[in-house]
Amino acid sequence: MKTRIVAGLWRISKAVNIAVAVPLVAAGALMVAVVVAGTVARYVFNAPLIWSEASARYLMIWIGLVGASVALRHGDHIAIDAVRTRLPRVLRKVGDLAVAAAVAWFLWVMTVEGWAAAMRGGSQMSPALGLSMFWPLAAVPVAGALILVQHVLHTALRLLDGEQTGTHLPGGGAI
Amino acid sequence: MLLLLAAFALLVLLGTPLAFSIGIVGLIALTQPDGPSLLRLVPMRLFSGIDMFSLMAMPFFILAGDIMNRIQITDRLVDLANALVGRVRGALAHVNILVSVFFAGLTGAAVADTAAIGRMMIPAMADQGYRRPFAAAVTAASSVIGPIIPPSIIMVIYGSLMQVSIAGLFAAGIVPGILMSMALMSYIAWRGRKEDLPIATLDRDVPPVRVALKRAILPLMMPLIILGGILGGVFTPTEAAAVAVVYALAVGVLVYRNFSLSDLWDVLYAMVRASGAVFIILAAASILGWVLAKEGVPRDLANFLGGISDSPLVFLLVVTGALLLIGMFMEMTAVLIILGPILHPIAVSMGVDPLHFGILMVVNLNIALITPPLGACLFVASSVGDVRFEDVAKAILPFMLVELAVLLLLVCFPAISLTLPRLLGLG
Repeated sequence: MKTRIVAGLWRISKAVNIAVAVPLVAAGALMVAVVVAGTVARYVFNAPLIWSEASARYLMIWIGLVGASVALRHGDHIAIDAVRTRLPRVLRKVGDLAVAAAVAWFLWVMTVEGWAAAMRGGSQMSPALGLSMFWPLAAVPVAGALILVQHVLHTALRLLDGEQTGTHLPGGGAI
Repeated sequence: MLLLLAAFALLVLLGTPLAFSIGIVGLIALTQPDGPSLLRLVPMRLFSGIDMFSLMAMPFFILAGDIMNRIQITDRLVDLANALVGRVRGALAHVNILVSVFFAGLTGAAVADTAAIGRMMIPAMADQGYRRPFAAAVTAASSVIGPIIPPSIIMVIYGSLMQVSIAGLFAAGIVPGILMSMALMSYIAWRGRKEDLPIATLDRDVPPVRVALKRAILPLMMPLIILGGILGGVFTPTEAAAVAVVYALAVGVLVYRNFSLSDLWDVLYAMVRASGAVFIILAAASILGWVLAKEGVPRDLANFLGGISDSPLVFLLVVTGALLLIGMFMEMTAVLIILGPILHPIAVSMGVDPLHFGILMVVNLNIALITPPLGACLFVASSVGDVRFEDVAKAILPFMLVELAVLLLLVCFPAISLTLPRLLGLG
């Protein structure tokens, strides 16, 4: 029974991740293309594109914030495990739950307040794009919600399945 | 303030990811029991904390470096390094360092370099009779050069946050990076004679320099395009990074023909992952930065540091020592993102050149990558080299001393860093 639940949660987490990653990967390719187009327009054709900088920047914000949910699924968020893993089992479980609740609080605030802020900001326009600022600002609540989904799944898996889902390098992988 | 510090320490020790530890502490500070809750400020801080065009150079450089790694340039660069320094005592150790220098111009990160170079060089060195911990230590120590020689992801973050010219930082990193590699090679040369390190090199034909250079010329052109474009004032760093992505793709798809559509998915996916891990720290730190500023922490710290001495040199030595200590236990990007905006203005107000201080912080925090007990490059070197962590940690110590000596030189002689950017009109 337990293994079936674990397998099920794992599949959900994977499905959510693919649904999130496909648009982000496309956005990444688009971001490169937009900046290259802007560069070529400026230096080769001497006709700068007014929309390239702002649109690439907003794509980056979406990728950076929502990408945190992809990073979370892979355990990429830098954490220090040295002390935690040496705690007695009971204390570690209690600590894990407290930490999970605190992280969920942060993500909840990000989602709810982020949505309110996006609605407030929606009346403003981005001058370069002629686009409501709702769309760039919506990255915050969407990211909050999607990270929260992966966080809940990750926490459930960690509690049910022991340690397999939470391996961290104590110093970051990317940089 | 003490409560916040205690909460932060508790969260980190319990294994909370740093980004969330920072964010949660920010939220605690904004939830005041008396007076209105300030939580509605959170989304705008998160947003504006990363709303910078210059930061985009970071995902682009990650992407370009990743593509270069995938189209198997390591072999070509190792052959070139071999042709250049493969005939002296300790040949492979020298090759290892020189390859790191080549890599430094292609990627902006240290940990990725450790993995790419270590996977190939540590077994090769072990085959020729080097002790494995030593081989792993050389790899880790030399990958520190990566983010000092441009392009450098950490400099992109530094320049964006502190509003210092990224082009200036890139220019200021070149001489210190070369100095660092020369210091490491001198140490290898000295140790080679003392311990009779093997002369033998890789188990394959060493091509003549001309042939090796020809095979490696396409990857080596990339740093020239990036640096030439940025330092010559043609491109902004972000534009240069995007051009580097296109260049790396062109080399892989058109010339080497070993870059497939599934590789493209993989590198873009890896970029999303890496961006997701870094941007959330930047965003969360922007909440914390606002809280710290409101509490007057930067001012208090400035008064405290100014009270020790008004000599910039003493200030730099104190900060260097403190950063080395903090870097032993904290991740360097996070240290930079939290402490940079506090320390940088203090340094500038004490008369330290902004570029000089930037280079010192970058070098300092990079040395933290090879500092036990939590140096990321050490972990990677021990895992790809199949060596016990404790053994690498021991073998790295003399290399650490060499790098600390270089850092001390950089602290005392600003001209090492500043001459080149001034000559180029960037300082």
